[in-house]
Amino acid sequence: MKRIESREALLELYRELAGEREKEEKYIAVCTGTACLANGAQEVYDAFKEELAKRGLDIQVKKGEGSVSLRGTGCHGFCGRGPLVAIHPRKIFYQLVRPEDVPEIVEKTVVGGELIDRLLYEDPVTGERVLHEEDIPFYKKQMRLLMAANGQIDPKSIYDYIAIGGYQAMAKAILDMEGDEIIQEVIDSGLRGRGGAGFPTGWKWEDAKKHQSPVKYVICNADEGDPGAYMDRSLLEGNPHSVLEGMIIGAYAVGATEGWVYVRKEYPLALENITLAIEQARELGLLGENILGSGFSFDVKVARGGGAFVGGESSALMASIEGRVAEPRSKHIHATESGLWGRPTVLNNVETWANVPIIINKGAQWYAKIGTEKSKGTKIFSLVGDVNHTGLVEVPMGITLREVIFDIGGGIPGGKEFKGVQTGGPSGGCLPQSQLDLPVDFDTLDAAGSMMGSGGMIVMDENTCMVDVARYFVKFLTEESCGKCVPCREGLKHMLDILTRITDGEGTMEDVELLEELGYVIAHASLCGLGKSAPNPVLSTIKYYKDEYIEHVRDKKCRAGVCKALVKYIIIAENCTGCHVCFKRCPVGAISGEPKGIHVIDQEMCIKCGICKDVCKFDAVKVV
Amino acid sequence: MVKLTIDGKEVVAREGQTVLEAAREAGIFIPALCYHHEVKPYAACRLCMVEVTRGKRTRFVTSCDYKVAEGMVVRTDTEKVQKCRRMVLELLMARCPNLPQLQELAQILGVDRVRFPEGDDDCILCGLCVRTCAEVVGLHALGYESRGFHRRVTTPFDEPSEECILCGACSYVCPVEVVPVVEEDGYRVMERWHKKSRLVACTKCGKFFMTEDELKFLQEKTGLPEERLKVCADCR
Repeated sequence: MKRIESREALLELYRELAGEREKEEKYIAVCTGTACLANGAQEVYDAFKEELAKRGLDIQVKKGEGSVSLRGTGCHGFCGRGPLVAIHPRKIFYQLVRPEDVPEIVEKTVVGGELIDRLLYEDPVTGERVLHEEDIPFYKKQMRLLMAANGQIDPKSIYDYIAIGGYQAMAKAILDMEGDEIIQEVIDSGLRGRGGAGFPTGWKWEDAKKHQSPVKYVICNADEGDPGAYMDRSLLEGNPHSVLEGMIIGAYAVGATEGWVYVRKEYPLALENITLAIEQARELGLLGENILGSGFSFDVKVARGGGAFVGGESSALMASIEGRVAEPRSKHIHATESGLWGRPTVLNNVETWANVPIIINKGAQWYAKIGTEKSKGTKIFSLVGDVNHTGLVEVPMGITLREVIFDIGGGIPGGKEFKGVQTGGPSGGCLPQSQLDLPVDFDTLDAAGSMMGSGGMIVMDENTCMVDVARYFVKFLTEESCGKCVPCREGLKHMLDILTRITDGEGTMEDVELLEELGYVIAHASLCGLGKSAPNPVLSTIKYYKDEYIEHVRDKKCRAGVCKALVKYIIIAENCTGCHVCFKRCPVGAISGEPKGIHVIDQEMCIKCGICKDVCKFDAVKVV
Repeated sequence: MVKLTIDGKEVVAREGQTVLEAAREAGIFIPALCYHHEVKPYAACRLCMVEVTRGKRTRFVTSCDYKVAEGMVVRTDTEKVQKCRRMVLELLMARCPNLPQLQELAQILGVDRVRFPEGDDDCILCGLCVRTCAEVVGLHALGYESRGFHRRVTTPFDEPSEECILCGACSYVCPVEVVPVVEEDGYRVMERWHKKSRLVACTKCGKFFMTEDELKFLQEKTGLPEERLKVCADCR
């Protein structure tokens, strides 16, 4: 790799690479994000490699007419339908691709220009086949400022990033702008921290700049730990240079010389790609001494997190980098004054950093037009649970929950009713049907008793018991509490005990009141954000689904049929055909009945495992 | 000098003092179990939380690590303060039902019942022993094990710590007095940390006054000859 020592050299390289890319007649982008890899994307990629080589079409072997380049790209977001493959220049979008489909794709689509119907996405409403990614309802309402590049570049190649205009924002910032100017731009853009708290990024930078110190740090928090959320992971895996570029700009603005990326060790691909990105940037001279001849020097190190959820809390994260146990401390003195090793430190989340180059490139005014009054730009959500289309969605702030769940997510599968959506990760709140038209932004979600968090969005259908959901999340948080402060350590444990009691049918109305009282104290008196937000799942479900708590306590009923102690399985005689399958499958022998005769469940013996209901083809087993 | 108001009373504090220190000096009671002036504030017990108003903004903070500022208005008796204090104490009493220190505090704060199942622990996890060992003695014989509700203070691997010199500072600082030090048959024993060390007698009066581990530690620290260190404070 040849070092880039000036703006001109960077521009020249960009022109060269972009030109090459334009000349690329055809290219195949295979999503090799973690979700697609788990679905067999590597095999699909290898099959393409082999097939192209066999036909002598591989551009790396032979340049020229008809040659095809192959890219393993980052996550495209439509993870429920992976492995995903896009055939350029026509941008034909194939989903659920298997390695055995590959020879046909090359033969028909790449060479022949024909479509393979069965691999196209079928619109569930119209039944029509959709050709292009952007026409699929899942993508239509999205605004993919950050995520779009994921599908265009090989994250392991810095040249791919430079070819799409990468590092131009950095060049502009460090060569043409003063630190204060950049900070003003970020303030004007209205960017707020994407890690959960939503603190204005520009203010944070301004404060760090103000504090004089020969050493300052910037940190990228990639310790994403919310179950089911993987926005930061996908960005770091799919476009690590965008995060790095953001960090360089931030470091220059505040006067930092050293950066840290703190990644969980459970994200091996993200670790690999960001580490490689740093090495490549260093080799090209985009990190290190005197970047682009600007006189500004900056380098980045990677720290691996051990997997404790609380390690993502900023002060705990810094303790962990310093080699201590990841435990939070009071933040009366901000990290921007005394953070890592007591130096002024700016800590931002992956997604926040990735927004920075966009703001510098397009300008604060442009950016601030997206979103609501106090929440600007886009936000990536990981849409999971009882929803037709699961995956990563990037939407402008202010879009309604209904649009995300029903238009983008395609609604609830199996014709079931929507019951609730939990936003903001395990310590977010659950919002019911009545709140579906809320605009998604920091303040509205907070006011409704939930939160933006880092962007988890779990959709739940009518078969979900909201008391059980609260219990589930509190269990997670109880296990993840570090145990330093009393309200979080002791309070959550008792909350979990009470919730378990209620789902076991042994709760009282005083228990529900005690939950509210505990919730108030844990939320106000805990030391860090983990404890402060931990009661959200409980308080929000009591607020919006109190009926269900009362049913569990007073009527000993669980309307969703989830809480085992409160339900029983019975066989409806009219529907039973005597097929004898349930008899054979019951693991405890609780079902009696002769073949062709009516079957009965012995309630004393039944362990409520639900197998009989699952195996009955005649809808004869009911939960009551 | 910094002027502030605590519960309506004008208080003059020194620059850099915490709200808790200023209040205590002014005779205003704020409960705290994890605070000790010899070690850095830890803000873990949350009993010392107060409401602080500066300018337009009122915050709910731990007074043990919140510094005083000119014109600050502190309230230690609001409903929110009371509610949180009482619940925190109730939670600690559920964890450790047999500690007289907690029961005394309960009388002062008006906690008259514990609504949670009683545990059988005796350690409130204030961390004073761990911090005193590290910050005052300069050793790391104690630490935490596990997290959340299962957190406990122990020695590395639950074995007698090679670092521990049985100085007893942890015992001295424990606010609920559950780290006993016993001297018997020429040994100092701290059962909680599975450790015992032979006692050393004063060369002048013949009374036992330090452990062999302490003597070794002091020799290493000070470089003084053994004969000088083996004289007790009374005979020195």
